[in-house]
Amino acid sequence: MSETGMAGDTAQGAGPMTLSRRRILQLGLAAVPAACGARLLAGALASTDGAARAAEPAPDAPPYDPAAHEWSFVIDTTTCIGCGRCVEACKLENHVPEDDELNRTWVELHVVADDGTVTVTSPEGGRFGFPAEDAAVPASIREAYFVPRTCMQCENPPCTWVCPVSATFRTEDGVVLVDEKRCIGCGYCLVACPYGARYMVPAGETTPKGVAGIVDKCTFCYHRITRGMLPACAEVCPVNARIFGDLNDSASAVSVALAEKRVRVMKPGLGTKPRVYYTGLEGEVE
Amino acid sequence: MTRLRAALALIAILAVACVALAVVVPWIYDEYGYHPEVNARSWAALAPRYADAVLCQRCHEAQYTPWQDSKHATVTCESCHGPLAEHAATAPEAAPPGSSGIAKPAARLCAACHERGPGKPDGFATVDLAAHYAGGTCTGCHDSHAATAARPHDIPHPLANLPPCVVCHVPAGLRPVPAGHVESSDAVCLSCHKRSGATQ
Repeated sequence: MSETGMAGDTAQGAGPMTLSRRRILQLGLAAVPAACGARLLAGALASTDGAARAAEPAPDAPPYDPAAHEWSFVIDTTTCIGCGRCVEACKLENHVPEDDELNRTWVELHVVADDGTVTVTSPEGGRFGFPAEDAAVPASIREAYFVPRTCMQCENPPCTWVCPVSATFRTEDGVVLVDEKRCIGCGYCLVACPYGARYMVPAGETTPKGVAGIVDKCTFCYHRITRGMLPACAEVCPVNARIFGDLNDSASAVSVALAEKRVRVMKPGLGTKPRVYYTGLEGEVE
Repeated sequence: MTRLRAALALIAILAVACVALAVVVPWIYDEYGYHPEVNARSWAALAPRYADAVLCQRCHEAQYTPWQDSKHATVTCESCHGPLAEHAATAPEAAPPGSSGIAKPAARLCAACHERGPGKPDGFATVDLAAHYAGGTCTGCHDSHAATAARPHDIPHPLANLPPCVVCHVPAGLRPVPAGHVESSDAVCLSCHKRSGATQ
C-alpha cells in the first residue's frame, strides 16, 4: 500500500511538478514579450507625445539641428540707452518673478566719477529705465554708460561643474539650461556663477515650465531661437544694442559684429569663456 | 500541495514583479535620467509670447506704414505695446483695430528712453522733463508712429512776441516750447496750447 501510495504520490506529484516547471517556462516566456510590449507601448506613447509637442511650433519647418548652431550675443554698451525694455520683455516672455532682485537679464548704470570711483546702480533691474530723479550722480563725472547683463552661456560653465545631480548642462548649440526634473534646488550653481546670472524661484512662483522650488536662468529664449526668432530682449531692443546670432554663420549679425568691433568678455581671467561679448566695456567692469 | 501552492504563488509574484519592473523602471529612467537633449527639446517647445511686427501689419496698416519710415523704425511694435503673440493669434480679423483692449503705452514709457540723464549715448534724443511742457500726454503732440517722432514741433515764440490777447488771458503765461523745435502749422500749436483758452 505504502509503495503504491508512494508511487501514487509520486505520480500525482510528478504531474503538477512537470506542469509547474512548464508553467514556469510558460510564465517566463510570456513575461518577456509582455514586458517588451509594455515597454514598447510606453515608449511609443511617450515618443508620440514628445513628437506632438516638438512639432507644434512649425510643422512644415525642418527639424531643428542643435549641432548646426553656436548661439552668441554681442552687447553694445555704446548704443544702449538704458530703457529697460529688454528686462520687461524677458520678465513677460519667460515667466520671471516680479521681484526686482530676480532677473534673467537686467541693466546697470555705471557712472565713473572724476576720481575714478565707479558707482553701479540698477533700480528695479533697470526695468522701467533710469528716472533722473532717482539717479545719485556725482557732481562731476568722467563718463557714464549702461551695461545690460545676462547669463554668459559660458563654454566652461562653473555652474555645470558644481551641480551635484547634473541638472544643469550645456547644449550642443551653446546654451546652458536647467533640467527641471533633475534639479533639487540646492542653489550650489547660484554660488558658483561668477556673473550672478541665476536665481532661485521663490515660493509661490514657478519656472516657465511650471516647476517650483528650483533654479531658473537665461535660456537665450531657447524656444524662440530654435524657431528662428530672436530672444525677446533682442527683439524689443529699440537701438539694437543686443546683437544676437549664430557664430557658425559668418554672415550673421553677431559674426559681423565680432569681426568689425573690438570686444571683450566679463572676467576673462576666470577661464569661463563667455559667449556674451561686450563692445565699449571698460576695464573696470568686472 | 501547500508547498506546491506556495511555489506557484511565488512564481506568480515574481512574474508580476518582473513585468512591473520592466514597465516602471524604464519610465522612471526616462523621466529623471540624464537626458540633456530631451530636456533641451522641452525648453524649445515652450510657446513664445512676443511675436513679430509683420503680424501686426495685417490689421494695423495705418500705423505700420508710417512707422516703417519713421525714426522709430528700429523700435518694434511689441517694444512699446508688449507681448502680442496671443493677440495676433486670437484677435478676430473683422474686429476694428483698437477694440481688443491692448493698452496704449503711458508717458513713463517714452521717458524710459528719452529722459535726459547720465549714460545716454551722444546724439540720442533726450528731453529734460523738468523743463518740458507737462500739461498733456507725450503722444498728444508727438506722433510716435510717424517720422515727426524724430523731432518735436518747434516754434521759437517767446511770450513777449505773442499777440497781446494771450498775455492778458493767461496770467502765468504759456510755457515756452523747448528749444530745438522745428517750424509747424497752427493746428499743431493749438493741439498743445488750446487749454489756455486764449488761443481759441
